[in-house]
Amino acid sequence: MGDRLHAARGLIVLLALVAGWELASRGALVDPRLLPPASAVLARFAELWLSNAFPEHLAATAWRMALGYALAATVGIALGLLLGYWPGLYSRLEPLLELARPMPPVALMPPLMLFLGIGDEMKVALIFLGALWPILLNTVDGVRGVHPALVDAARMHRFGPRLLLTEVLLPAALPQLMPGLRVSLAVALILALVSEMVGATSGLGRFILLAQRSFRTADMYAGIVLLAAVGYALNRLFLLTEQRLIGHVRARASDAL
Amino acid sequence: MNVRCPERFAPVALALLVWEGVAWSGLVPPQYLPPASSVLAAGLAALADGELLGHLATTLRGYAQGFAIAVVVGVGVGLLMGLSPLVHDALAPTVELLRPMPSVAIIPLAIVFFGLDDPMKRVVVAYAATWPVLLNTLYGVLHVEPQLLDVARTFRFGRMATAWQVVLPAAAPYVATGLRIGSGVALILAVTVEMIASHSGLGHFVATAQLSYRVPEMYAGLVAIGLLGYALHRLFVVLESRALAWHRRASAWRQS
Repeated sequence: MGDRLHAARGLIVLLALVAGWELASRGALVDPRLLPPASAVLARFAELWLSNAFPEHLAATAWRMALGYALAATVGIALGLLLGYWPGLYSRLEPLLELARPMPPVALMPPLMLFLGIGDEMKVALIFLGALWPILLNTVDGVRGVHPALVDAARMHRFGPRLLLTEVLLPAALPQLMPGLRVSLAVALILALVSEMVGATSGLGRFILLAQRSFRTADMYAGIVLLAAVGYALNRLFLLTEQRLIGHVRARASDAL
Repeated sequence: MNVRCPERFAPVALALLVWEGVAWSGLVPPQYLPPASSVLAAGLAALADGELLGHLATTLRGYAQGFAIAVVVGVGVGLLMGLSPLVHDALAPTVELLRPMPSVAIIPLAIVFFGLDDPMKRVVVAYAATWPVLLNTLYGVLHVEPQLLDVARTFRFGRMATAWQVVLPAAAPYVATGLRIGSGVALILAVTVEMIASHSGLGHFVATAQLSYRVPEMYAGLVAIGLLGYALHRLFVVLESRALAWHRRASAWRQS
């Protein structure tokens, strides 16, 4: 009962915002060429979806993103386990990692374009490099935070290095690793879009920027709405997976909302 | 600190040497990866004629203006949402819907309203950097110990006094984390906007150097962006530990 009341307040605000958008545009408070009515954007969204334009662009973006993200997760977790397991190696590399971490990943795009052109290789490489850091650093932190007693116990039971990594360190580091995977997912989507804005023949990043440049503003807003939905869905999906994997371990920061 | 310095910079120096060696060996075509020394020379030349500094100033300005807005809005709305259940309920679904949207998606939207100038960059940077500040502030306020609020009530603190003198200081470590993350996001978006839609700034400098095959200049710009990112990151880490020293002492005292 109380919950329903809380949710209702929020929905009312959300609906009021959309209604305000519709009225502002229809009443020409805002130039309708800059901000078409919400209903017009919705209609355009349906057209673009049914004409297969949106599904195709979405598939192109999702494919690049998935490839780069999967690479980043594989390499990041493997490298993170190694660096966390051999602290000597980590402390020697730490200054380099510290220097590289605050580097905005988009800045790597120009050199990648030199090496790989502006095709999918460059885009996947950019997504990989950007998504790698949060996963790598969180894995290292997670492994270094594993209680030494756990490692000792595994040694006593004569676990080999491989068994130790996959059966002890990885599961114990998982709660620390998940936030890294989540941040990287958002980074991967952002970098996919930016790389498409700079040069591509397909993808949602190119779609919204091209729509803006050719003054098809309703198309642009429809694309942004789709991206909001994609971001929301990815986040939900991730939280569900996280819940499955480590739901027993802790309550999440997202509980604040 | 000084004793540790050589040790810390050794890996960096080694990496630079490897770069130089790889470039000279011809393993990588020099038109793709010029030696570190010629990048340094190009960087110094661009620095000497003022070009690099001008772009650096533009990037810093866009970053600072956007981030300042993000701090005011993020801390303000985060405090309000954390303190008032009514505001929290009203805004939560909107926040939850907008936050996961990739921030770069609003670049075309901002161009429609603000053109290609500084105001557009400011809006995009502010929008993106607001989320980490807002969410961390909110999380910090929700985790203020209830006893502190009880004490404030006992001493008949008003709402404003409670917010400023009790809640905000108690939530300070969370806010500081939000500011540090938000600062990084702000720089990323400033550089991104400059690469896609701008006529100046370090992002623009790097992108045009690449397009015109001035490869050493491109790497010099890249190094400048990296150093700027590192400097801002260190600045926030140092400010955080200075500003929160009292907080650590206070919590240590409470726990003892």
